[in-house]
Amino acid sequence: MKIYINNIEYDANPDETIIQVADRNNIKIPRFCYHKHLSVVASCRMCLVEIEGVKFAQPACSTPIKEDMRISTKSSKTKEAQKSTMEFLLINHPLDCPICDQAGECELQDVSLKHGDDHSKYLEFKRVVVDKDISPLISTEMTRCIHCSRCVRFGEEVAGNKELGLINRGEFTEIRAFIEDGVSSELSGNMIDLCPVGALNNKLYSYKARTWDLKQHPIISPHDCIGSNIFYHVYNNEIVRAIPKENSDINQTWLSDRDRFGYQGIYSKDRCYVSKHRKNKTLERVDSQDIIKKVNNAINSSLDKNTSSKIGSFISAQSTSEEMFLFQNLLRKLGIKNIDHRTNERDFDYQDTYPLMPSLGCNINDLSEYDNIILIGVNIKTEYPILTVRLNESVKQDTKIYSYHYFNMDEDFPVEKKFVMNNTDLLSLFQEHTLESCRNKKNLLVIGPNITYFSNQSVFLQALDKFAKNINSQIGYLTDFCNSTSGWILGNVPHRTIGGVKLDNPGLNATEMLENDLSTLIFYNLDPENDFHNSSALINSLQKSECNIFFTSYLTPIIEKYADYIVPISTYAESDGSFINIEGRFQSFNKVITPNSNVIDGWRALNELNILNNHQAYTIESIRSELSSTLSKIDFTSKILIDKKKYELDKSTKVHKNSLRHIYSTDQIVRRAKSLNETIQANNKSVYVSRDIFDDSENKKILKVVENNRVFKIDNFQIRDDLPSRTIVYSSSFNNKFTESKSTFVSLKK
Amino acid sequence: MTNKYTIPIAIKNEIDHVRAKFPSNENKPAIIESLLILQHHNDGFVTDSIMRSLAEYLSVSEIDVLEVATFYTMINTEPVGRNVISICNNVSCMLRGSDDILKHVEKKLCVKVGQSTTDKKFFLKDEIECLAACNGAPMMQINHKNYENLTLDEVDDILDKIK
Repeated sequence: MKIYINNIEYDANPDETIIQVADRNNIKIPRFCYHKHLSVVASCRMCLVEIEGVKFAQPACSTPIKEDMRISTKSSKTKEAQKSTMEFLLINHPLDCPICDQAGECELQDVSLKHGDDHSKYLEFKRVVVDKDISPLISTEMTRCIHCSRCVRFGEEVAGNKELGLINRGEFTEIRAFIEDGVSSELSGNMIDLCPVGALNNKLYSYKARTWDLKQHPIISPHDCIGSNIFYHVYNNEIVRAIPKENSDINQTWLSDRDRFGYQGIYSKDRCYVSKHRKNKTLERVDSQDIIKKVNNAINSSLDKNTSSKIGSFISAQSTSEEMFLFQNLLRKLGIKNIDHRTNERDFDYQDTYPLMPSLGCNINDLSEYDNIILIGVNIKTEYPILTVRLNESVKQDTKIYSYHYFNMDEDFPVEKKFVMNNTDLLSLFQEHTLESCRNKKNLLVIGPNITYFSNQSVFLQALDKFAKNINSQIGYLTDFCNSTSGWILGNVPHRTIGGVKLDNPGLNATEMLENDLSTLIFYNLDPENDFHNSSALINSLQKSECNIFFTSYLTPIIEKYADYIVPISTYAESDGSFINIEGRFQSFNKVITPNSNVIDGWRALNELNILNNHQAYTIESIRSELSSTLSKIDFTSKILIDKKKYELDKSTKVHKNSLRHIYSTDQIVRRAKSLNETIQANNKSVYVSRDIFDDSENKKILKVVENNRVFKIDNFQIRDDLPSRTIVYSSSFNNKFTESKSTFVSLKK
Repeated sequence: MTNKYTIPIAIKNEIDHVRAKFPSNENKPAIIESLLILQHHNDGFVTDSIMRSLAEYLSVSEIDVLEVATFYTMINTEPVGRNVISICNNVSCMLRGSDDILKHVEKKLCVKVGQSTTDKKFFLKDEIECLAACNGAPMMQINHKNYENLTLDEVDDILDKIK
């Protein structure tokens, strides 16, 4: 089909509207309510254009095209219509641009400059609307609102959770939530971007800088394995806000709140800015030039005294790929095999038959091609909020979503069927279970991180493998950290080296390292309080070991108590780095801010250690070229587990103690993001107990749970009738601090 | 937070009846009529907890219900008087003196249009459009009953007789 805009011929598809053709061909039409990812309402009337043969100017956003339609975006009729609309929109809009955070990037300001008049006929009083405190993340100035309803449509159509609405009518129309602080969506920050005026603002960025003084730096999200693309805006070497970087393959134009506001954790009071070394039982400050030498001496003297098998090393899967590469490179060259990034896991029997790395097995864009998506032990709403957008899209294209979990949780997309069962029941179900609707369809089974915390993970994975074969489904994984994929591919596991090459004599895994009384322990980028499945075993081994070396960005009580060497390292934004997301996409970024001068770039610290041991020295470019040559050999399509081992199904009745991954305590940076932890979701910290456990217990105020011969008391719990039988669920890892094991079987003492 | 309102079974049945008129996957169209039913059983207005219960019952978001409730003048979100007075002010009635009647009623009841009397006996409703009785202009409607060809004395009489 052909249409003419300003007398130039353009190709168009019959189902398009005028604004779509114009946008594709870079013809500017002003607009407020239209957004390419939202439905069309044509309420602002700003995009009025003249169409030949039509008496009045028509809205370009809602007018479908016709063969040989002649549109003019520059004629006097168009200009007159736009000028009048602009005058109406400005009647009630305050002239407070000098104190408005949106100024400089305001659509109203831009459009009014270009299409508006320099004076108004309106002389009466302007409307004033009372501000609402809708969320700890969004500040409001509702007098500025022009009722484009983008925020309302975003909630309804994209986030799947309508929280803002247009209430009253006519002159009294206003945007508000049902209850005052009623905006709790995990994607709420996107409303700030969508707002074309300064009505919804970023609360953290409030009055911090003017937009034209900011520098924009691209970076990759360190909070989940999806790898959303972000722009950080920097003012005087401080990150003041984050906005999405459009990437149609990953996050489109959206960002989850965790990715948008998580950077606050970089400015936490816990940050570690000085190198320290323990002398005579007290930590003493060391010059940052010397700390690497001291650490090197400590590792080498330990190697001289003991065998290399007495040294254990842990690295966080939130570290960059460059750090992971250098970490294992250094340790393996020193002959140390005890390397692991799976500090949250308990059961490692599965590791020999595990695929090369966890992978979603398809591109995020292809999720809507599946007929059925089966979620196992994962709550997308709180764990991978950005995927909510994708799954909402998929459901609209007739994908059915099933969910299997030990806890009944809300999702912001329609779920066809939820199965809420405890660990044992789920296991027996998977042995025989076939989903009738999955027959001869394209299916994807997604295994979430909660499964990897199970003490019977291996049995579970095998059962899931069988289930997948029964329903003829592909298997995909979602991991708990942003870079777990690198952890596996780059050899930060005891049984495989870089590229997934199998080792004949594997080292100790994360749990074994804590149980084997090692003499030296190296921790890289880990938070000992929260990143280990078993904090008491960790403390025990820290007490027994002779030398504890911490490479860390944060000081925690355990680090201060047990560390012998503290190397203050950079966070993700303070150094060059790369993450490999769950699709296998390798995404690099450069340093955004320069840290305190005592803080050492993570990869430089490791590189320095390599040089001191006369190993090859690397630059960031040479590491990246090594990484890309390793990655080029890897096939990222997911493989089904091949496990020949037979596991016995343990059906004895016990108590199932599980924890949920809490949205704002998944990693050490987001745990310290102050504003995120003031939200409604973050304050949901409690212990849920199923009714039958409560009925069995003698003491109704304090439940006693016995685990590994230690008694744990649970007070302050809530009974939930929708829990599967014999289940205790911790809603947050914060609450689970120092309790033994995040996920395990325990027996109940009467 | 306000107490939770439980919709009585009789009202639930009425709402189900409303819901049956619309496609099974669309519950939003049922909001407006359901609100009228709930309001009828709650002294002529709906509270936040009633709206919340309705949202839950119809599986729509709470704000959807609030949007409807605040958009239409026939649904009240604040307590109102027992007897609802609507005085037509459209063209026919206006030409026949409805403005005087409105002023008279306001003065008599000591309220402005849109307000209720302090004893909660009368509610003088705002934004009244044509009530389809132009032949009897000026007219007013009290509790869905029309009173036509009014004079000021008649208005006094009618209001005095209402309990």
